[in-house]
Amino acid sequence: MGRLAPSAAEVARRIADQEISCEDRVASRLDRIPRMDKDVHAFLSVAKDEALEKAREIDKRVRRGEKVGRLAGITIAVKDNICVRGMPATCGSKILEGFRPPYDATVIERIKAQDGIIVGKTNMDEFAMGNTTQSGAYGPTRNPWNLERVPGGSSGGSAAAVAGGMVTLALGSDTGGSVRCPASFCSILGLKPTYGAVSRYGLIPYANSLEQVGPMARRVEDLSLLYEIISGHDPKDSTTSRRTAPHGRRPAGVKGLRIGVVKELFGEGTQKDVSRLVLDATGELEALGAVVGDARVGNLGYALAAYYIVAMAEASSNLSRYDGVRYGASVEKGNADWNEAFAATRTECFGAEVKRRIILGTFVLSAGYYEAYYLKAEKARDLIRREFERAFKKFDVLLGPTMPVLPPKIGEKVTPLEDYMIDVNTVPANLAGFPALSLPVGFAEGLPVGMQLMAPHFEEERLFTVAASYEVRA
Amino acid sequence: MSRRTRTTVTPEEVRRLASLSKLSMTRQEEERLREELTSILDYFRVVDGVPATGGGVRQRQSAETLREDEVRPSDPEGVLGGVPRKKGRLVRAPRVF
Repeated sequence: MGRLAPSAAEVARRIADQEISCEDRVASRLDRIPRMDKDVHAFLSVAKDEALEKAREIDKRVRRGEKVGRLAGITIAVKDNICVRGMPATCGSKILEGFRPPYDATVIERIKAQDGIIVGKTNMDEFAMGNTTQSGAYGPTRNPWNLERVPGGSSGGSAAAVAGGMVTLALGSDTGGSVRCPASFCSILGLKPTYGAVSRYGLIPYANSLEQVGPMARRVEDLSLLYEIISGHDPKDSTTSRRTAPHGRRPAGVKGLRIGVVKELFGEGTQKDVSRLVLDATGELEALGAVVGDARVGNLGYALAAYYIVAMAEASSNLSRYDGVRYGASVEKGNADWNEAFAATRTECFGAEVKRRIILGTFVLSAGYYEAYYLKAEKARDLIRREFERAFKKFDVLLGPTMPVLPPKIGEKVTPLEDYMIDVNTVPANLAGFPALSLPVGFAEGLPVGMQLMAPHFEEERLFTVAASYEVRA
Repeated sequence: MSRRTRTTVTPEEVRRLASLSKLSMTRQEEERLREELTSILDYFRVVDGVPATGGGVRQRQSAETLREDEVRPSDPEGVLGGVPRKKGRLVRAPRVF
């Protein structure tokens, strides 16, 4: 559907040239949301009036002959853990009910500066802890391709909004695969940028050393446009790099590009149809002139455990800020003392998975266990980073399935550990900090399958080239 | 490091962790969590295999990221706007003693 629609850049140009009205364009997209979203439930809040007002303002500026931004008239959905001034930001949790941030995240400031239209906030797993968008306090999001299936997570609302044609672009956040997993399950594109490429200022934190805000789109051109706009150094986030966004160094095509198929990413839990479609897509890249070979990345067996240990440790610290005193929900508990009052709010307002991760994170950081778990996990992390650096000496891009399985059914009963296991292919990029992109490569049993492309740090352009070559291959 | 081989979590340990995390739970919840923690921590022991000579722990911050210490505009009304319980411009908090 989206493949034939005009690109975001083309829409912005038509608006700037007064070929179409921004208000009409935005209104037509907004009309689609209630129709689609009554079944999908991608949005937690929609800011219809604000979006239309912004669109009218853009039209006025165009008529006055003023220049408008590169995202003029482009509708954008934002995951509910990214702060937009005056809009709710629940993180999918009851504990942030009623919270409206008084400031914009840096990524939002940059989108607004380019006249992007933020239409609403999207559903997610509570505090981004999940891969199905079922664990939030506000009900599950459904996969627009099959309403009985999950859209992936934790940025499932953003992915479903893009896949359902409710918006052109969306922002997610990716701590261990939370942009790439739902992109894969919803048959769209999603990018986890290099750690430090995009500001995290205004992203409500879960695991700071792992997460990045990432763009989601139906076309590669749109994905790279949004990435270009949100990336770059930010004085408000000291982990952002000054060497970001090497725009213009994009390879012309895949001809001669060395692509490594990572055998370890086709592990025993990988479904046959998933492997087949990813290998078929690899064959197509080879037919386009890529030099395809087998890549070996050692020590990946440590990745999943190391990821969860580090993520939970950081979560236990990050989530200690929710005390019911300064913002969000607060449970009234008579004359309770400090500790009892905190516990009352936290116990009532955090969901089961969040509590589990806080407690596990507290455990792995506690005296006597820190060396055995947290320190070992950090060592594993460094080992994995070096393994990938070695592999990137031989290959320009590495690939494998994004998710080893097709989207599970909504409500399927699994243990927490079984649930964690399907993140096995996405977590290495977060541990090692390099960029990774999921692109759709077909359907099995009517359900989307995504392929994950990975490149060395700050080489996002290579990922866009490979994805774009595949996109236009026919 | 002798504790490394240990995977069983005791009910007392669950209660201690819950208390440190400022969470309270029923006996039934404690028991379910104890079982879950045991199986998850057992899986986490995979990292025991990381060679001692293997990776190091990286420092990920550099001094160039420091910025000037200067006054910038802020929005005290906006920040206070989200406080659940207030008395005028004061934040109401639970008693400490």
